[in-house]
Amino acid sequence: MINIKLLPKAYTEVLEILKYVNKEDYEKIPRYIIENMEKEKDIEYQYSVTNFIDFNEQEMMKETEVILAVLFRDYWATKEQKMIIRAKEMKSYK
Amino acid sequence: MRKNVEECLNALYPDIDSLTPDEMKKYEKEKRFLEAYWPEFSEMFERRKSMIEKVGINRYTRLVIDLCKKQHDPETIIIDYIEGIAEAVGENSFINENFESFVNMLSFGRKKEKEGKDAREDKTPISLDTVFDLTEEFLGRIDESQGLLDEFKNLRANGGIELLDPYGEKESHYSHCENKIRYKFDGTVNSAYTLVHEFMHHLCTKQSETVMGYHNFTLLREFLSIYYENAFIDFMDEKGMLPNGTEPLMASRFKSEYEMDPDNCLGIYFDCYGKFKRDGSIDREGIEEVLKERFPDIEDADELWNHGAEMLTNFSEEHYFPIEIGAGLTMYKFGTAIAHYTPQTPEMHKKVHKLASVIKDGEHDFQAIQQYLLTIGQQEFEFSKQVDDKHEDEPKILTTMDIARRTLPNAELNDKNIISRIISRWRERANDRIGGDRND
Repeated sequence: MINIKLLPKAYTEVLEILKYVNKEDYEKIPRYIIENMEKEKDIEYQYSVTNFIDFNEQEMMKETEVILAVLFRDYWATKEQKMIIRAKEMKSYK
Repeated sequence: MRKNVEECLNALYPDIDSLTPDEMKKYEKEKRFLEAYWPEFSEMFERRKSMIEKVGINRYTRLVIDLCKKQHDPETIIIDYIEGIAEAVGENSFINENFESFVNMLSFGRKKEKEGKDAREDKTPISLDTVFDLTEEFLGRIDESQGLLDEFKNLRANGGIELLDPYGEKESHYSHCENKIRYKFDGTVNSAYTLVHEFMHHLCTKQSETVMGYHNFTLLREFLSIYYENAFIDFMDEKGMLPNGTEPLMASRFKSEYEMDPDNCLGIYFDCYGKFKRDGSIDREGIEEVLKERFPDIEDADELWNHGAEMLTNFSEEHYFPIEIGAGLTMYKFGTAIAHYTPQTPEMHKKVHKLASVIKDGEHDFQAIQQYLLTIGQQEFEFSKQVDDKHEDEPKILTTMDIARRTLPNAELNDKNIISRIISRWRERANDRIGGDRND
């Protein structure tokens, strides 16, 4: 279960990661999401992306993983990918 | 060197006098290819022929696969490869005798790889009107019913082709939402073929919306577009529009940075091809079966199988690939497209391109070829990422697939629901603020 109290730090991490996403994909995320994360992020918290070669090895909080997964599912995934994600979600729900 | 190229070609085409016009065209293409990009290959070819005779094709293929697994380390390749060959043929003296030629071959490959990033472009001028005329003639030729040509003319007449700023940042693309091709034309043959590419996206999207409702099968769309893009390049060459030949344009695709999943996309086509070879034919059910085998974990997603199979069958038999050429050639076409699609390095491109030809001939071990492609696809992909990362001045980019692979497996549904609820609240607040119902 994600920890709501850690979300401001997660927003900081998400916003940092989004800096390296190309402009076209970045703009697919509704502006209000970016604005709210900017507003609620932890400005003291320092985070940087260090592992571009293998992003799987990039350290990030569990909360960050979930936010990015939702962003991918809702705004970046193709129809085919969405179907696959939903099928897997349905399976995990059962 | 020239002599070697000819010898190599003679071995590939022993009876040149009896070649059909199509075979002769292929011969000429092969010749240009060898002369322009891989002179040392001719020498390699002789060695290969002799080795195959001695060790058999299966063992030879395995050695080549081993070689490709080590592509990130050329020095190791040389040593391992030569040792492997020496072991296979049982002649230790082979190492010393042939060391230099192997070093030359490999260093040549590395050099071309480096040059490929910026040297291969063809800036031969061409007018926009000529591009439109050529495109129309091309479409009329590949579809005797003239349906494609009519569609192109309609699209053009209805403002469906919009020119982009040739100096702007945006590249040519097809906008599904607006049903519009945005075409970046720079006045040279280097951008002439992208119009056909984007038009094929338009066709696929239109076709899938009306018939299949499945417009987002991205990988299929790219393959088809790239196949016809290359066909158009050949067509331009045939028309004498390419004084520098086809290779510079085909090589330009290396600069693209498409995201792909080599495992899945290659797998689908090669599974289909394998089934075609085993059963002698492949139909809708066969393709559906292949898709289900490839994605066993998501059996609930019936729609995926139905639409995916329908789309592949449609492509194979009814629309863009006439029924008479069958699934085998369709898979070859996909193989060719894969060869040009894979945006790794020129060195890899040549190898995969050769393999695409091999696949068409159907003389080689399918499993070995599949393994070869999958292996070098992944190896080269990793390698190119490492090379790119060394260029510190270049911007670092994360793709959405990088993010998906990193985050999706770990995110649980309950957690996603919590985040979705938070996002919904933000959306409601944003809507309240602007007094409307917009989402962005």
